[in-house]
Parts: sequence; C-alpha cells; structure tokens
Amino acid sequence: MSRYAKFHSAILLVGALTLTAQAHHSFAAFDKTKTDTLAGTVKFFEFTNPHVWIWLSVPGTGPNTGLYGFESGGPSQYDRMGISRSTFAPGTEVTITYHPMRDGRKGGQLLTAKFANGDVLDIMKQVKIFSNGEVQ
Amino acid sequence: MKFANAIAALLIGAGLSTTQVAGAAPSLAGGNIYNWPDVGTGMWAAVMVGFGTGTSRLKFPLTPAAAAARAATVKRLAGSASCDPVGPIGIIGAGFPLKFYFTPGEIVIMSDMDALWVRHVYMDGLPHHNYGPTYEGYSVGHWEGQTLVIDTTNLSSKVNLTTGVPASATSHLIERYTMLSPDKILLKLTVSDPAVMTAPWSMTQSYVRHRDWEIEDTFCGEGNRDAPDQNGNEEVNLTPPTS
Repeated sequence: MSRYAKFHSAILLVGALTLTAQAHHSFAAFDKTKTDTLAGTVKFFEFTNPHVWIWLSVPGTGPNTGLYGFESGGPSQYDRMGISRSTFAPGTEVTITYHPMRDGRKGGQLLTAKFANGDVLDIMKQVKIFSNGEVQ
Repeated sequence: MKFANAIAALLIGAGLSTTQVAGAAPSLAGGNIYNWPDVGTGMWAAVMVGFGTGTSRLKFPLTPAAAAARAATVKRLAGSASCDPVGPIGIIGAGFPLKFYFTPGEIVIMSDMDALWVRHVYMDGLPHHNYGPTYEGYSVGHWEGQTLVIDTTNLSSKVNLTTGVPASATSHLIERYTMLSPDKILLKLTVSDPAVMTAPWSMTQSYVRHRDWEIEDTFCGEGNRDAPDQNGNEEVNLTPPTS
C-alpha cells in the first residue's frame, strides 16, 4: 500500500467513525453543487421534528435579502451536539453557509453556522468548532 | 379454582385461547437474550458516509418495469417525505440511531426518527397471529451463535424497498446483526423480491454505541415541511412561521 493510499484509508476510517448521518428524506430539493453564504439575524428557530428549521432575516434591499428558511437535521441530533432552542434564539447574529433551493426560492440546506463569538457549528460533520480551534 | 375458571371463561368469551395463556411461559427456543446482556445501554448510531440520502442510496437490481416506475417516482417526488412509518429498510436506510429493548420473548427496535417507527421481533418460537401486511412486516428472530438473525415478511406496499419501489407480497428481508466488540455491531441486510428485483441484494452497515445517548421523544408529524403536496408531488413548504 502506498503512503498516499494509507493516508487516504486513515481519512476514510476517521470519517466513517465520526459521520453518523441520518436523513428523513433525500434533500434532492437542494442544489448540492452550490454553496452560498448569508449573514443576518435569526427571526424564528423551529426546533421541531423531523427537521430543525432556522429562519434568517438578511438585512438590506438587494436580491439576496429578506427572510430565508434553512432546513437542517433533527432535534435529537441537535441536542446531542449540545444545541438547544436558545442556541438560535431570535435576534442571534449568525453567518450561514448552505446549499440553495433548486427552484430559486429563498432557502436551502444548512451546512455551517458561525456565531459572533467565532464558534462554528458544522452540521455535516456534526461538530461544534470553538473560536480557539477546539472541536466538540 | 373458581377464580381461575372465571378468568378462563372471560378469556374464552374474548376469543382468546386458554391453552396459549397456559403455555405462555417464555421459551428461549428462539435464542437467548443474555447473548447481549447490556445491548439496551445507550443507543446505536448508524455509520454512514454521506448525508441526506435515505433509502435512495440503496441500488437494487430491479426489473425493467420496477426501474421505470422508480425513475418516474423519484423524478416526481425526489426531495419529499411524508411522516408515515418507513418499515425496516427505511429505518436502516435513514440511519437514525437505534434503541434495542430485549425481553425474554421479543426484541423491540426503536428508531430515534419517530416514536412510531417501532419493530417487534418475536424470539420465543411461538406461533404469532400474522395479521399483516403491515408497515414493519412480520419479524421473527433467532440466534446463530452470537449473531442475531431477523427474518421479515408481510411488508405493506405502503413502505418502500428503496425510494420509488414499494414492497410486495414476496418481499423478504434477512438481517444478521453481529456484535464485533462491546460498542460495535455489524449488520448485513439481504433483500429479495422476485416481483421487482432480478437478484437478491445485500449491504452491510455498522452501528457504533453511544452509551450516554437516550432515545428522545420524537414525532415526525410535529412540523414536517417536506410532505408531498395533495397531488403527491414534491414540495418543500417555505411559508415562514408566524411566531
């Protein structure tokens, strides 16, 4: 086995141990080839089954402003990441990366959320990355 | 004895067999719950690569007719999902953590996706009233050494073998769960159905135990924004909440 192959296997193994993905549906409504970023304040946080939804108010008058809805994992998944209803309390400032809706509507699949203190939630890896670099 | 006779009369009156009641002492003919003494501790998380795939990642060898029907359904309904129970394959494919409850005569498997996604696997070797077809089908289990084998038939056509392929009267599942180490279980699932598949199909999936996880109170219908519309087509409901 080449050094590269060994390295690659190690990455795959680590990935296999940490990714415990789960899905209620296929997420085909979202364009996985695109990743967009938006900054705003949380207006609503629907901490409900089967999927958590974060509604982000993006200030301004341009095309990429207004109210966006972002679908994410399930509440139990969030709970085990240490995320509660208060994490995205209305008024929280957050920068979100997401796969946009294929049909162009204002919304998408949540990928990461970065808070004002620098902490990042990586929903795909199901980890919380603190501003000092520590990973939970 | 009068009391016992009165009970027997009540049971007969209710259409129940007293001989079944008398013989209902748990039989371990089908296996031994003590093979995995603490399997109920914590929860078992599916190890999957990828996100948001569900059963659509299961690539069965389909008959041409089933493949065509599947393609049409996937095109129409690609990203939607109702909150109906999804059956054993759906539970495995969706990848939500599992909780196992072992009793002397039955293993109960619950999915963290929804409080209604519950499987009953009869282990006591007794004949059971098979009233299906049902969402979770009729499952009987036994032990082969340290491997738990679950045999499932009688799945309702309301659940899918894979996205866009409903189960049929000839659908048959074999699951083999082997505990590789105290916190790791390997599942081998084999699906066969001559009505829609050209050959049996197998997959393996491992589960890692999280000893500190508890099953949570989940009801999928609470706020599903991904249900198909009234015509059965894909829909994502982007109407904002009002409060």
